[in-house]
Amino acid sequence: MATQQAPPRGTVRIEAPDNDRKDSYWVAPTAILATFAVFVIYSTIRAFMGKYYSTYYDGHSFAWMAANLRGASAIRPHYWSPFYSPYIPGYFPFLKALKIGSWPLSAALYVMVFPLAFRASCYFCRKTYYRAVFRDPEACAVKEKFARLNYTGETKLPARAVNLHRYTFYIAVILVIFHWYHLYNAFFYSQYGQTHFGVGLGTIIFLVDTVALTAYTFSCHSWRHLVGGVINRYSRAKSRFKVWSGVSKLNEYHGQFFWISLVTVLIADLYVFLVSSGRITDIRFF
Amino acid sequence: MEKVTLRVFRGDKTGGEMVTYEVPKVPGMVVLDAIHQIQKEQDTTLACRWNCKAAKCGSCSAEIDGKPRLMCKTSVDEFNGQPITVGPMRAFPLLRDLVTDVSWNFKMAAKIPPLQVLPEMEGKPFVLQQVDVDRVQEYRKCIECFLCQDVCHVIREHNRKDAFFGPRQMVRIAGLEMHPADRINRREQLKAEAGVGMCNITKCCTEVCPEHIRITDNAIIPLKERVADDYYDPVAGLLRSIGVLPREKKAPFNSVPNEQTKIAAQGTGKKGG
Repeated sequence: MATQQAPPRGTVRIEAPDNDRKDSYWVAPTAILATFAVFVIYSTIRAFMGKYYSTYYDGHSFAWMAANLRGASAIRPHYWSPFYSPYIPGYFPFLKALKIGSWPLSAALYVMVFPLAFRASCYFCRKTYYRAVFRDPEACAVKEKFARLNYTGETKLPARAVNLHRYTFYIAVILVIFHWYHLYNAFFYSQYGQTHFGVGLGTIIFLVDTVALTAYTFSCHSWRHLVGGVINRYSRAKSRFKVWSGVSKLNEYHGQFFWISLVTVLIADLYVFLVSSGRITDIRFF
Repeated sequence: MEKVTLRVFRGDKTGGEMVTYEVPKVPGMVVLDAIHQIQKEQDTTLACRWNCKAAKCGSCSAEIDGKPRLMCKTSVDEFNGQPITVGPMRAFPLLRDLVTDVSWNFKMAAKIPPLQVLPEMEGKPFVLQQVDVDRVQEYRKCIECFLCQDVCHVIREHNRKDAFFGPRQMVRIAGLEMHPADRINRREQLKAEAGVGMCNITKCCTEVCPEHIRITDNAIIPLKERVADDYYDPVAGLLRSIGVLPREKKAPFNSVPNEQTKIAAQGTGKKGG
């Protein structure tokens, strides 16, 4: 009879020879890594750009806007980039004067840290970047290059900070409210100084983005816990059980909502950039 | 007659090699059938653990083409005539061929106190509504095949058996922590010796579970959130301390009688070797 003891620290796993995975397990983490790279590069450029984030005045007059939005006869759709929403310097005007050297501080930098924190501490996103970026593990049952006995998971800082995911969720809810505000505005356009109801391609993009972001936010695991996951006896909390059941159903698709909203928010910002910089004209349906 | 080619690990803790066998293919054949065919016709010394051949006993866990799977639930047709590689679970000490010593799992299970019934329910028949036990019933589907323990990189790659009980035990603790009749605060154990913080949510346990228990989403993450309530949420802690939020109602973990966990020293289990 072999030993009943657990193997001592330092004992490596059984190296049964030649039984590695034969499927293309590396495709998914590689594709995810490429997607993340595209998003990070694009959003970094846009975050520091500091212009082309609005297609209409909305109470704020930007120098770059006058140069690229043509005269009063042109249709000006009411689009505002999600990367610059909410427009913090609009509420705190002294921020407009802040500079890094001679470079004015972009309004996006005050905002983007919050969705970044929400996504970075998201339970689904953690899976994707632990696999694709840190290769810890790259895929299931695949040998890790950096297997180590001092592995601590999420028990030490900075990884332990992900336990505060619920606070990033609270802020994400505020951002979602602003998304809906910008979606509402996107159903209007200006011409000859008058505001009219209408729908353009940007409106559709904003609609899809806002719905995707709302679904992603409210399918969050922390939200699921807060609305009812903490309860043990649902027969005494029937209304919370109903809400928890609904969130649980949404939660099954949390990963899909994560990817969809990541892509749609990029497309929404890109579309606003293209229109506001004069590279394309908004496609109007009515 | 069409043949199935298998490359099966043969060896013990001193070493081993892959040995190639060919067996006749029959309709509906699973990998366990092929292993049994080898045992019957070609090599009676081939060791493998099995019992029900119906994916319910959790005995025939192995790694097939590198993936942790039940041999009785893996059809040979999946492999399109290619050789099928079958090896033991790599996270546990090897006994012989496809058989590993999984007793560590039972020792960890023994550290988890069984249900400690609420005082008002003690000695009476359990009267619980279905809605109260629906969530817990998912955890009770576990057949203890330990594929989740095998695939968990904390155990398999980093060998942190000293700091993490593993996904199977997280499911067990979830079933007790969320049980409407349990009176013990199990979050203390979760944060300490059970090591829920060691899990980094890569969901491999969920991917391999033959019972399709959503281990990560429905057990580990809810447990992490409960631990966050107690240990990481500063506002909740403040509100609890000034009485705005209710204080902990469950009994402390150390109130469990010691004899409840003494089985840990005996090292027994249904598949403990």
